Amino acid sequence: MNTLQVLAIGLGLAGYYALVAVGFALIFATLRIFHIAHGTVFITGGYAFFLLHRVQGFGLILSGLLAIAAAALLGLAIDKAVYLPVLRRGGGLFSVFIASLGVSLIVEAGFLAYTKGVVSVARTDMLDILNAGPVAVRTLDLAVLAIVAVLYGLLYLWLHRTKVGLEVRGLTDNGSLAAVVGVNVDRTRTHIFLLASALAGIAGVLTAYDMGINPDSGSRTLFVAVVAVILGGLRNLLLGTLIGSVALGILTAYAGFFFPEWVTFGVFVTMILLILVRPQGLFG
Amino acid sequence: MEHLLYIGSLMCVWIIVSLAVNLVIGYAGMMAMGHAAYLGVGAYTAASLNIFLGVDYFSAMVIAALSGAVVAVLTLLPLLRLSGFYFALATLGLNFVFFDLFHNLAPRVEGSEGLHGLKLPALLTTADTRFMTTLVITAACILVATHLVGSPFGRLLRATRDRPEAVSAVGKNPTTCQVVVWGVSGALTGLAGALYAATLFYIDPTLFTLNASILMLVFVGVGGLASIAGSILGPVLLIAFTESLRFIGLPSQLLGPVQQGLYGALLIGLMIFRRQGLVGKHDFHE
Amino acid sequence: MRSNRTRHLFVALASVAVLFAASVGPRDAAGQTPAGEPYKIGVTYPLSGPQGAWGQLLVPAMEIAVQHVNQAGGVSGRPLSLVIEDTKGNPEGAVSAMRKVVQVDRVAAILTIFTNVVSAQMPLADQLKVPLISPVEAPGLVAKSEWAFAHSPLLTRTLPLVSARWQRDKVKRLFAFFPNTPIAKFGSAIVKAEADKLGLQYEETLFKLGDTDFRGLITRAKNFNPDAIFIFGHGTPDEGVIMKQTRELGMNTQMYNGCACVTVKSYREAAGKAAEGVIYAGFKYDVGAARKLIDAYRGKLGFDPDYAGLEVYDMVFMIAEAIRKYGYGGDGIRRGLTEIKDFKSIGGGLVSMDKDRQSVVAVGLYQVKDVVKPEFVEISP
Repeated sequence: MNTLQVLAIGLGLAGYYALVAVGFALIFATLRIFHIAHGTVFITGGYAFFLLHRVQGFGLILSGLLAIAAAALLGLAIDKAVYLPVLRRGGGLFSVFIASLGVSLIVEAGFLAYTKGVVSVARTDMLDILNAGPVAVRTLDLAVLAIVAVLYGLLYLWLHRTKVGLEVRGLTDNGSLAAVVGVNVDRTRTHIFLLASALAGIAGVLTAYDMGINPDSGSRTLFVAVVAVILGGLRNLLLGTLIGSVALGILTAYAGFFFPEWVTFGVFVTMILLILVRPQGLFG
Repeated sequence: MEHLLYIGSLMCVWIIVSLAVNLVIGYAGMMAMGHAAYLGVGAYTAASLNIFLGVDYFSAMVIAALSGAVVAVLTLLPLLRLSGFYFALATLGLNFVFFDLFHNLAPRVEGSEGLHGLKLPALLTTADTRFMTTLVITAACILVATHLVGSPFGRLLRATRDRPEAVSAVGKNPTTCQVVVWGVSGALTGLAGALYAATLFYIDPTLFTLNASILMLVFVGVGGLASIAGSILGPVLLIAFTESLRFIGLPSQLLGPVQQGLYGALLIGLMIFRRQGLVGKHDFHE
Repeated sequence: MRSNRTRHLFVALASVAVLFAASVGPRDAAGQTPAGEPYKIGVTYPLSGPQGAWGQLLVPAMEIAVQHVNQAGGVSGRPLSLVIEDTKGNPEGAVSAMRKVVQVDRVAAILTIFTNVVSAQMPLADQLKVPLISPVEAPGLVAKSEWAFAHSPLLTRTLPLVSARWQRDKVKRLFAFFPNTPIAKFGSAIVKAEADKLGLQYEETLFKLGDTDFRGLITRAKNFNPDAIFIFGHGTPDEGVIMKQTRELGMNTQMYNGCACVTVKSYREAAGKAAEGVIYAGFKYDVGAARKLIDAYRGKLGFDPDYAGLEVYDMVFMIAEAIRKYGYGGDGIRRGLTEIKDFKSIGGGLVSMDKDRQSVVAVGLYQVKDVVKPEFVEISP
């Protein structure tokens, strides 16, 4: 059994989950919004990249940046156009969740109509691989890990060294108190959605380049990210999400190797068990 | 004409489902996001019994309703201690869990992905008798549901939703109430699943995905929470509307995405403007 | 010298005159436009949903076939037309769509696709007495209904070409990929029997349709260290992704495909350069024979039709022929289809219907030479 190869695959997947999960966790921790539509932000980044790079032929970096921007703007638009109106009219967090489902339906329908459900892969060339004995690792995998490390590092600095980051942490700890103390919740909210959505967009771009995406990829990746967040807990957001993502990456890789037809089953049984047994996560 | 009868039969099936879902979400305040699992249990139970064991379809439907109830209650029990939001998430998870179970374990007819070849009794074979029979069963379900919500149990249900502490204060157990209504809901959904299989002549796991559960939410949400009339209105209006799209020249390939997009927009609109739905009597403030 | 030049000039002018006369000579009946109420053929195909790409790719081929039939004078002087409905790729949609085209639009025959959809439609076809024809490849499926026909190359016909190659290349270890659908059951049985016959070490695995990451499964293959990898599915891009990810896991094994699915554009795009060198056996696709269809299809969509496009093109002509022989009606068309013998496929081979209403078609062995152009080369087994 090629354990090392499966492990390598798992770590690669963990990178994508980590990028999606941390954005989701930020939004949930600070605003208590279960942003299911985060999955559609992810695929929007991926499709935008596919359209710009593969279909229109723009350069790699330019397509990537534009796609990330598109994802960030979509995320922000969802909050401003859907979540805020629901909240302002007396809807609670569950209503926001349902509205988020609604957004997912609309965005996915759009991509379904456009792509007819066919997977969109943003490259034709083969990736460079490094063979280390029985394990083949793609240079892309190493790049993803590096990107995640850098971004998490920057996130840490942002949360702990900047004023906005301080305000965000304030919201995490106590939302209503933060507002009383003078935190500009609206502006902080904008920052949070832009940042989280950009991160999801980056994950989307990388995934589209790597294995391709289809309209289902959004919900699939999102739910794994949700389980990663539940596992890691919200107390120590960055560390918890990172560990949760690595755990889920390895779990899904092994599941994919041993019983590929039961991966979804496995992910959701894990989620239900976590909710029942330890909803506060590892560090809560 | 037969096409219209078919649409009518489908409407009846979804009315029963909406009644079931409204009972738990609207009347009992329990956020059920994965009821498609029970629909599938009913459909697969009835179809399997009929195709592989030769059970006559009416008996199979009764057993389907029972199995719906049993599976519903069994899956509810571990979730009872969860609070509203985590509860919803767990039921959503169950939907996916059951989907994989149907896909990997459920019996299939040789060479296909699902079950077909139902041996239906005369009353369910031709389109018009099938519609009449389905209509009669639906009417019975509506009566049962109306009676249930109007009875003392119904009041208890609403109290459990709005003031569970008051319920305990008068010596009743809110949890028992929840289990009972969830079981009834499971039974109705299971029955609807059996009817669904008879209407389509065919079932496979793709009919019981999260999308189906969301569809149930849309029907109930649009029609109105905690309202029997709403449970009828929602599916009738929405199914009529989407079928009519086929006839007004919308290109066939856009029908699916347009329908999905529409339902998404409806959900958003409902959450912003009218959480109680068209004729609903409960506006949930969660 | 002067008389030679005059003679040459005379011959040249005469040739031109003859050519001119021939081109504006009397038109034969085949050039006449058909008129009257069209003979309608129902089409229940997925145009949306996960299988929507198939509808988008194949309906144009049918439309071209109808055009060509009509350009040649139609069927007994009347034109053909298609009534198209979206099945969304699921049985509920399929039954809905079929009911609409049969009971509302009153078509006498249906073109359809996909094993699960056809399974759902067959009881209805029996009840409504409407023949349906599809490119499904599940052996024995259409035997279950007197009204169901299939036009496709069965694995039992394509595999021998591939396995001859395995013998030639002295393959000892074979690994197979199948999708987690009914295709796996019969596909696996056929391939395993062949492997046993050749004395090969054999392992297989199932992949989930619609997934994007198959590397766990492919690692299994890597563990097995095969000489040959065989993929047989529905021709969805997933298989292309499997090919690509196989190469990216460091495996250089020769890959074989049990159908001509590489001819499908989205499949090729998902596989990218990994598809180069893949050997496959499938529906005979002679570029010369199919010129008419290829040019028209390229004109419409900008790329060449895949093998399924050829199959559906044939189907339209088969139905047209059946109507010509026995009139426009369920029974007549059914009879006509049953009697198909030595029908000339647009792909270049001859087709006959067997007693279970499965067509027996010509197949060929090909290798992918260039993914982008694309270019496929016929090779000998």
